[in-house]
Amino acid sequence: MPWLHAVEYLEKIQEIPLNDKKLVQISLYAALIAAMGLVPPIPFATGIPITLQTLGVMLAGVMLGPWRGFLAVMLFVFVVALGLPVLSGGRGGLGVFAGPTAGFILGFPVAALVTGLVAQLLGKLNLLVAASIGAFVGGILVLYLFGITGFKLITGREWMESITIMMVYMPGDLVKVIATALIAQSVYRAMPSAVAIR
Amino acid sequence: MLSLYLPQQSWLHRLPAGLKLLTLALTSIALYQFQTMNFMVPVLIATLAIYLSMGKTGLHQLKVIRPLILLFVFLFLFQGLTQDWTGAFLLLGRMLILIWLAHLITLTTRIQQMLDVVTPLFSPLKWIGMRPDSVAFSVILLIRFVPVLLLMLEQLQQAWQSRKGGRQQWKLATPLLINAIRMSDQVSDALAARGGIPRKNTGDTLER
Repeated sequence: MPWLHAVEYLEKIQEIPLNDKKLVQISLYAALIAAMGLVPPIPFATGIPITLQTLGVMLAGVMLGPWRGFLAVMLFVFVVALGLPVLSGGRGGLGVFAGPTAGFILGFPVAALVTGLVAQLLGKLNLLVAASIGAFVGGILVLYLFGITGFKLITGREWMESITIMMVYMPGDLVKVIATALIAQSVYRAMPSAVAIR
Repeated sequence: MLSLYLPQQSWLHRLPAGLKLLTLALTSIALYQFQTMNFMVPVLIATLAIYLSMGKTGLHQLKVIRPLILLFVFLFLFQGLTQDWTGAFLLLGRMLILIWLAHLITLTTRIQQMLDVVTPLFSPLKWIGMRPDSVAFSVILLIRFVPVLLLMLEQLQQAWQSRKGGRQQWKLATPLLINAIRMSDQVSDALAARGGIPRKNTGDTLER
């Protein structure tokens, strides 16, 4: 019965209320994403500097699972709104939610949620494969859906134009999908309890 | 310090945070509602006047839009060339006003004040058995974790260089994450030993 699995699964991800240990973990991953915003962007082979921030979002989904991953990234977005300059390039404050990349920032938590969800549902597959597919669906498909919609709403551009403009970031993000999976796998080897989707 | 707050005194610093947030929200609604130059230009001038009223440091803060300038130029020209120039000015003006106004709040409001305004919004957390002030606690924890993580990364980089590790620094990601998880476990053990999240989160940790 597939629906029985679904019920069982929903019970598994119901981790409310969070205990203190989980709260600390959530703060840690949010801090990790924040720290990634402070490290200078790495100029990559394609010439486009890639920031680490979306890597942190995908990792939160894979390492913490959908629900806690979502909360960790929510916390990050919340402190950006509070005025911490932890978005890549030292940006922060309420102003970023009025800027053209606001859709991406608001999409971060959902991206982590979907990353974790997909990676968890693919539990039977090899971790490397499950994490890659999860990070691709969450960190690229879902995140770009939010990012492009936000860009279109704020700038009034057409769909196709918005998509074309945003494609600049695609190569860097594909690298981050692979990096997420590799990191998750090597952390899993050293510390299996750290990967919530397993 | 990890904050954009400007530690000086201006009339904006003295306004309640809630009022500032409400004004921002209403302005953004109005800017989308009345898309005319007659409305946008005075609001833009008023925004610039507020920065001017904060003196030299205030004017200096207008640079917050710098990372976006190229994108703005592109959008402005594109809108102007393909549609109309009035629309291009309106689009540019609206984005500038909202980013600058929002940044003003960030500059003149302490993180603790912002937390105090928004914490009541988290009271529904009680219904699922969580404490609303656990959000404020997580924020404080995060602010403390960030410099610790950066220090951890620096130490790993030094160790890497002293082993002649080369340029492939992405390999440090795994040890960094493992160290960070160990640290968070220690922090939660210490927290449990002290009887969990402190009852009252006053600003002590944030005001420095």
